[in-house]
Formats: sequence, structure tokens, C-alpha cells
Amino acid sequence: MKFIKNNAVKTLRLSRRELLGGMAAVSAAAFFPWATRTWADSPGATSEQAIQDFLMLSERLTGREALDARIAGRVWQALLDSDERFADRQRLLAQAMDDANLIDMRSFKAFAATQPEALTQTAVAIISAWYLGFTGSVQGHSATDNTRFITYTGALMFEPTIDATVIPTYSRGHSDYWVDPPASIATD
Amino acid sequence: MATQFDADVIVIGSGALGNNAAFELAQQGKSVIILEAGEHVPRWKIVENFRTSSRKGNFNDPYPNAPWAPTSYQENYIENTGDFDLFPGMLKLVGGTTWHWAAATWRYIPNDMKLKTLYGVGRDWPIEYDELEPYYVCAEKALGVSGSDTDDQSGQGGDAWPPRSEPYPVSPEGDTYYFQRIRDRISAEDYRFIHEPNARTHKPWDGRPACSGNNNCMPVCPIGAMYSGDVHARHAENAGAKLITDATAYHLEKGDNGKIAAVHYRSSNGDDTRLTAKYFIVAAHGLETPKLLLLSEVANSSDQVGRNLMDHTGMGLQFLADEPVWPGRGPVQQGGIFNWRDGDFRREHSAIKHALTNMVPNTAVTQRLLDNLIVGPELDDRIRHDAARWVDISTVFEMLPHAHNTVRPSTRYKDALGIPMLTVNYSVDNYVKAAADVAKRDYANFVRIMGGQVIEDDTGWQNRDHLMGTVIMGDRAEDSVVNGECRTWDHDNLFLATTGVIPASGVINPTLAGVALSIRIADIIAKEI
Repeated sequence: MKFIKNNAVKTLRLSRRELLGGMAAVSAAAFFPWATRTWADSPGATSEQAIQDFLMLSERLTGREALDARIAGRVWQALLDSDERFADRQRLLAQAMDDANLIDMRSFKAFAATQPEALTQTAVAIISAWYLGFTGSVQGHSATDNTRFITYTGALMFEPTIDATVIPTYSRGHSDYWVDPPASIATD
Repeated sequence: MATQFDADVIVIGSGALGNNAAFELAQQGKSVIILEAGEHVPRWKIVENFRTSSRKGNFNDPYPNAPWAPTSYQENYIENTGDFDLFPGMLKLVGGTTWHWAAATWRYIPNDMKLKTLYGVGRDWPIEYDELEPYYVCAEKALGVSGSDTDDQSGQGGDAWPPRSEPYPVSPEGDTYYFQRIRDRISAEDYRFIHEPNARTHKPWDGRPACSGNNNCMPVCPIGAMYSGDVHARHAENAGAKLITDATAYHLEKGDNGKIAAVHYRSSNGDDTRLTAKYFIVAAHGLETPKLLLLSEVANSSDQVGRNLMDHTGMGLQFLADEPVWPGRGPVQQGGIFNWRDGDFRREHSAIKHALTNMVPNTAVTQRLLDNLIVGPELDDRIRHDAARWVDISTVFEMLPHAHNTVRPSTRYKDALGIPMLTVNYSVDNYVKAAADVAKRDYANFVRIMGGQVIEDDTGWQNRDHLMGTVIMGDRAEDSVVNGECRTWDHDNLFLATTGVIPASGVINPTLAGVALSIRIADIIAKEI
């Protein structure tokens, strides 16, 4: 538990209470379609612990202190739906990171060099889902593919540039603002 | 006893071209029916579909894909048999595929229309620029085009060109910082940058708001600043036209005296309807239009229907510049480099257009970094660093019409209505391959001048979704489908409103020419009814 921060735990608990409350009242699926398989098909305690572990692992992998617990549930479910062995892979990855005492993610490349390819892929799949907001690979000229939607505005890839560009479909305000560079240009 | 008709004119297809023709006819007091295979979908639903899509780079994804009105990415909608897989991103809903374009509204230059005469390759248009010019003016007003009245759009660094009888309806929007920086540096070596006329007006126009730089022209402008064909579906209906959705035309019925007597359409519940009219306009884009003609065995005495298929098949370049240029602020494209738009070289190789793409690049940037196992704090730093320096150039080539580049009704696959889907045979010729070598030399120069680090400079051929040639226009009935009026040689009451009539492709996005030709069709028909 050493990597989880108190605020994240609180967020997670809040979120979980909403979920469980929803299930008790009617059906979790009605409110949270992504949750159906987890909470309907398997014992709640197992999933709760798995998601909590997943949130901790995600925070280690992304180097962030307070990821959104609701998004964590969606990422976890999407990865599980894509790969039925994901829970095992997640456990193996966390164990390997513990064993290697991998805390600072700047050392990830060196860590990956000592690990099986599949384990590195699991780590990148988790980080990728958080950053891109979806899992899977987009097929360009096809009506279907193996992607799963997680979040749009919550995708972490937008945070580093949010003061300079837009999350597409949203706006910075008015026509022709774009003739000037971002205020940060001198230090970019 | 006088013959009774269901309408004066039936327009098949409710895209930008069909709707502009329908509006003009309705405005002139003609009774008009528009048939649309898809449905009307409000903009907000498409925007929400996009925001919750897991494949945002797939521009068909937020749009309806019904078994009876599939998008072009539906499995087996297009079966490719040629060297290149042609997969244009076509839609079926009210408004058509201009729901996702970037609203580039160039005019052809006079020389584009005389390719055979001037350079000995391809074909000429059967009409000259001067005949089309007044209708370009109408089309630019209809779409609210913003453009420069001073640029030499032929790319030769001369005076304003092509000739204009009226100024652009709207002034050009401000240049993005991204465009400014790349232009200022690359133009130092005599590469000529031209502002791209566009229908993403930066001032309110025809009920549309000004562009606010939402940077999502493709696949959907969330605020409707960018023109899309639904605008003129609405205008046509307000002018009295009747729009019938869920109506897939599958047969044109021949009548007496070489005329088309009726169109048959099918709804999603399988009901068939027959409608008669004095005139018919097929405006079902460059693939579906020839398919309908071939299925109906009409307009094909020349054997040219479905042949001469041209896209502006392209290539791409991505690199990281040595300074922050910040793509992603403003509209998704603004113009490009036009040195190779026209010149005697067109005897040897195709014309070339290099356009700057200005889309928020975070997805591609992040995927590339993750592929290189860059994670943690470094990932955030590098996303900002690389996103600020990402330069994306999209190149297109002029194609020549070849009889072996074809679209045909599929003999293997049918849609849910039992109507054949499409088979395409498409390859790229040596005229284009020779130009690709020139483009790659330009790429090397761009990268060098911008102190760049190449990400991708050898993409192979790419789709550009500009469908031309398939119902080719000409001045002889023996080797073309329509005459200079876009009237089929074989049926004097059947007109084709599609960029598929275009016989010489140039390098510019053909939609504005298509709209101009469509308004001209309406004027011709209105005089005859």
C-alpha cells in the first residue's frame, strides 16, 4: 500500500460507494454499463480489490498521485475485456516492479530491458489507456476494430498542452486568436 | 391528356451538390423532391458520437452506419481488386460527406481545364474557365467562402489568379502562428505558400457562427461554422423542396424518346416506391452515381460509366521542427506550397500540392513516445515538446483518367436492401510516380530548412477522398458520359451533379467546382421546364 496516496483512496471509496449503491438500488449496468461484467458476474470484493490494486499500479506507472478512480474502473474493465489474462498480467507486473524496487519511472526503460516482452507490453497498455483515453489499435478504413473507449477530456495526453492548444471540439475562445503563439512560446 | 409527374425535378442524393441544385430549382419555383439513403442527424449527436468514440482518427466513425445505408468503411462496401486500396470516407446522411471535409474551396485555374491542349496528357474539360466563373461566384456565396483576392493561386508568384468577377465573399482568416513560421522559413528558398480559400468562415455567414478554432473540421465541426451540405438541405426544404430520407434509389427507369421516366427507391423496411419527374439529377457522389447508372443500364452508350476513376492519391511527411510552431491552434488546414500547381513539367509528371496539416497532434505524438518506452515525467515533458514541434504535410498528386481505373456494382456483395455494393480497381500510373520523386526531394528540403527530425517521409500512397472521372464530362458522346452541361449524352432529362464528371483533376479539392456545376445544372433545367 505504500504507493497509494490518501486522497486517491478517498476518491476510490467515493466512487465505489456510488457504484455499489447503484447496483443495490436497481442495477449497476443501468448506470455504469462498463461495470456490468465486473460487478454482475463476479464477487464484488474481488473486483474492488483488483481495481484498487490497479489504481495503485496506474499511479506508479504514470508517476501521478491522484488518478481518477472512476476512470481507473473503466481502464481496468477495458483491458480485462481485451485480454482475459489481464488480471494475472497486472499482478505479475506489480510484483516485478516491487522486486526491482522500480519507483522512479525514469528508470522504466532499464527495468523493461530486464523483463519479458509481455510484461513491458502490459505496462505500456496501461499507460497508453490512461494517456490516449482508449485501448486497442485503431483500424483506419474499417467500421470495426478492437478499440474500447475510456475517456476523452480525461485522457492524460492533453494535460501537458492544455494551456497552448485545445482538446479538439472545444475552443480557446474566438476567431483569429491563432495568429499569436501561446504565451509560453519563449520557454517552449 | 397531359402527363402528370410527381415533381418537376428529382434529385438523388442530399449532399452539398444535390442540395445546392435542389435549392436553386426550388427558389425558381420548381417542384423538387430530394431522395436521401440515410437520415437526418442533428449536429450535437455527431459531436457526442465523436467525443465518445475510441477511433477518433476514423472520420466515418461518428456517423450513422446502417445496414441499408452504410458508410464506405463498412466491410465489403468496397471490394478492391487493383494495386491500391481505394477507401474514400463517404457518408450517407442528410448533408452527405461534407459533414467531414476541411472545407477547402479552391477554384480550378484555366490551365487545369486544358491539360490535353497545353501539355498533351489526359483530357480537356469541354467547357472553359470563363463559362464556369459566374457559377464559381454563386457557389462561393452559397458556401460563404473566405479567401485572398491577391494570391496567385497558380503558385507562380504572379498577380492574383485565377480571374474573378467578384471578390471573395469573406476575407481570409488570420494566418496561424504555425503557418506563419513554416511559411517564413521555407519560403526563403522560393517555395510559394498560398492561403487556402475555405468555407469555414471566420465571420458569421448564412446563420453559421464564426470559426472559433475548435480544431475538429474533420470529422465534425462542433459549432457549424464550417459549411456542410445539411445547410442547403434546410434551405431547399424552406424553399419548398420535399426531402425524403431512408430512400435509396436503385433503378432509373427508361421511358420514351430516350428520356428517364422514373426513379425507383427502397426504404429500410423493404418498401419500393416509383416516382416520376420531368428531370432527374443524380448527385450520389463519384462511386454511387456510376453504380446507379450501371445497375439501371442507362447513360452508358460510351462504355465510360464507372471508368476513369481518379482520386488525388497522395503521400505524407511528418517531422519535428527545431522550434515550437504549435500546430493545433485554429482550423485544421490553411494552405500550402503551390510551386508545382502548373507549368510545362505537366507534360512529364503530375502537378503537386503540399498542404500543411494543423491538427492537435497529441495522439500521434503520445503513441510514438510510448512505442519508444518513454513514460513517467519524461512522457509529459516530451508530449509538450514534440506536440509544439510537430509538422505534418499532406501531399496530393494530379491524376490522369484511365479506362482501367473503374468502379462497378459488386457481383459478390449486397447491402441489406439487396442492392449491390461496389468493386473498385485502381492503380497509380507512372505520371504520378514521377511526381512522387519530386515531392520527396521537396520533403528533404522542408526537413532541412526547418532543422527537422523525420518521423515519417515514406508513407506510400494514401487516400484523399476526391472522387473524379467516373461519369466523365467531354465534348463527344463516343467517349464521355455527360456534356459540358453535365447532361448525359444518352438521356436529355438526366443530369449528373457529382465531382465524378471532372475530366482533369488538377490538385485542388473539387467540391467547389462540383457545387458550381450543380448550380449551373439547376439554371439550365429551370430554363427548360
